[in-house]
Order: sequence, then structure tokens, then C-alpha cells
Amino acid sequence: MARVMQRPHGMRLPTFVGGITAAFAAACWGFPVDQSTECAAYVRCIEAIDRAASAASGTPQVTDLDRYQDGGACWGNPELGKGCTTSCRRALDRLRAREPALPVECAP
Amino acid sequence: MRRALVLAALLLLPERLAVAHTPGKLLASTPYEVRNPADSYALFGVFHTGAERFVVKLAHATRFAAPVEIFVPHVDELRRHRPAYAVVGPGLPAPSAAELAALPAPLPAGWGAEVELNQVTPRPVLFESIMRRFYWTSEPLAVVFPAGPSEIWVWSPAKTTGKFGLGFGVEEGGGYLAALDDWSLYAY
Repeated sequence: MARVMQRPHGMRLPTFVGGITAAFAAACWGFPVDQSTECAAYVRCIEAIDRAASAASGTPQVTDLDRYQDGGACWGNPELGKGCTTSCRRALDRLRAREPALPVECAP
Repeated sequence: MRRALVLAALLLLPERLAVAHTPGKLLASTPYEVRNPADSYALFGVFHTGAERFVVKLAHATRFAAPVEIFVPHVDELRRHRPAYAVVGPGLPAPSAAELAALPAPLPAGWGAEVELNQVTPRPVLFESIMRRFYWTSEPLAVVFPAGPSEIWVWSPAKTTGKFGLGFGVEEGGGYLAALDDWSLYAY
């Protein structure tokens, strides 16, 4: 282990420390991932519900879906992406089971 | 040894570099006021009698969607400890009769609820990579919070006792070093 962590000959100390820190951060939190199909479907569904509610009431209804949008906080690393994807799948399942008249965008 | 490693890892990284829930402590006697619902939180509490109801209060200018999840330490004595939660507020869906009967308190007039009775079987397990601990989890659920005031209620339907955590939002804040103030609550 000590041999692995030895600073390579000629490498400057700040570069070495920065590299170790970046490797540690990547090991702990990983790299960004793509938006999942489940959450893309969830976003489409909630946006469609908002449009329908706005049309019915005459008052704009907008849900902040930033976390789930492509490039949102959900996709910062694989662990976050997995949790968000599960949350989208479960929310869509509930909506479909509970609401008899969802917009077509919410269909499986 | 494990605590030392986690502490070293937390202290080595600049706090703004890492993403984590903001930790907080839930007390049955006092509602927890969320200052900024745009941040994410991991709120920890303990059922001492099993009859408690923990309340988290939020207020947000706009409707927003965020994942919510409840979890308990993955230890054998908590195998049957399955706290439930409900997000309650105006504009949320009307709960089913069974969900309504399970709620720990009557809903205020005009309020609905998104109820999670934490009954997924087999029980899902979560590995939390900041504290390096395993938890049983309800699994996250995307909830649309209404504009204006809303609350999250946590209770123990089977009156079981023990620790629990309530997570909501995506891990997008720092502030996790506050966990060091109350280590025994957050770690197990």
C-alpha cells in the first residue's frame, strides 16, 4: 500500500495531492450519468399534468422538475441516479394506479 | 477504525466539493422547520415509545418534485422497525381509505397526502456512501410538493421503537460536517 501511494519520481507535490484528492472523490461519488428513461417519462408526465391543470383552471401550474431534468442534480453520479430512477418509477406506478384519467404522456 | 477512516475522508475533502444531504435532528416535541427546501436533508430521530409523531414543516414558493425516503439502520434488532411517512398539504392527492386510517393525525381541511407505509417486500437495502453504513429503506419516491406550506409526518404504525432517518431532496448540499456534532445519532 505504501508503495502504491508513493509520489512518482519527478511529480510535483501539488499535482500528486490533487490527483489523490480527485481519485478519492471519484471513488466516493463517481462521475455524472445520463438521465434515465424512467425519469424522462416522469418529467414528461408531470409536465403534461401541469398543462392539463393549467388549461382546466385558467391559472398556470408549473412544477419545478429541475432535479430530474436532463443535467439535473439526480445525474451527478451513479448512486444518485439509481435513487432518482427508483423514485421516478415508483411515482409513475402510483400515479397510474391512482389516477384514472392521466394525460397520454403518462401512459406506460 | 471505521469511524477514523470516515472522519479522515470527510475532513480531507473540501466541503463544497462533496455532495451530501444536510443533516438534522428530529424531535417529537418540536417540528423541524426546513429553511430551504431547495437543499436536501437527512433528518435523524429516535422512536422511544413508538407513539410519537415527528413533523417536518416546509414552505416553498413553487411546486417542486423531490425524492423522499425513510430508512433505519440495518441491524437485527430493527428488522421489524418500519416507520411510515406522509407528505401532507393543500393540493396533494386524497389518500385512500386505508392510508387515511393509517395516518397518525387527522388531515387539516383541504389538505391531501402522499402516504408511504414502508411495506415494500423484500425489504430494500441502501448503502450510504458518506457514512459508509447500510440501512433498510422504504425506497425513494418522487413527490410533488405543493406551493406554499406542507409538512412531512413520520410515525411508527406498529409502535416499534428505534432510530430512523428521513431523506428528501437529491444530495446537492454540503454541511455534512455538522454530523460530527451529534455523531451517535447519525452513525450506528
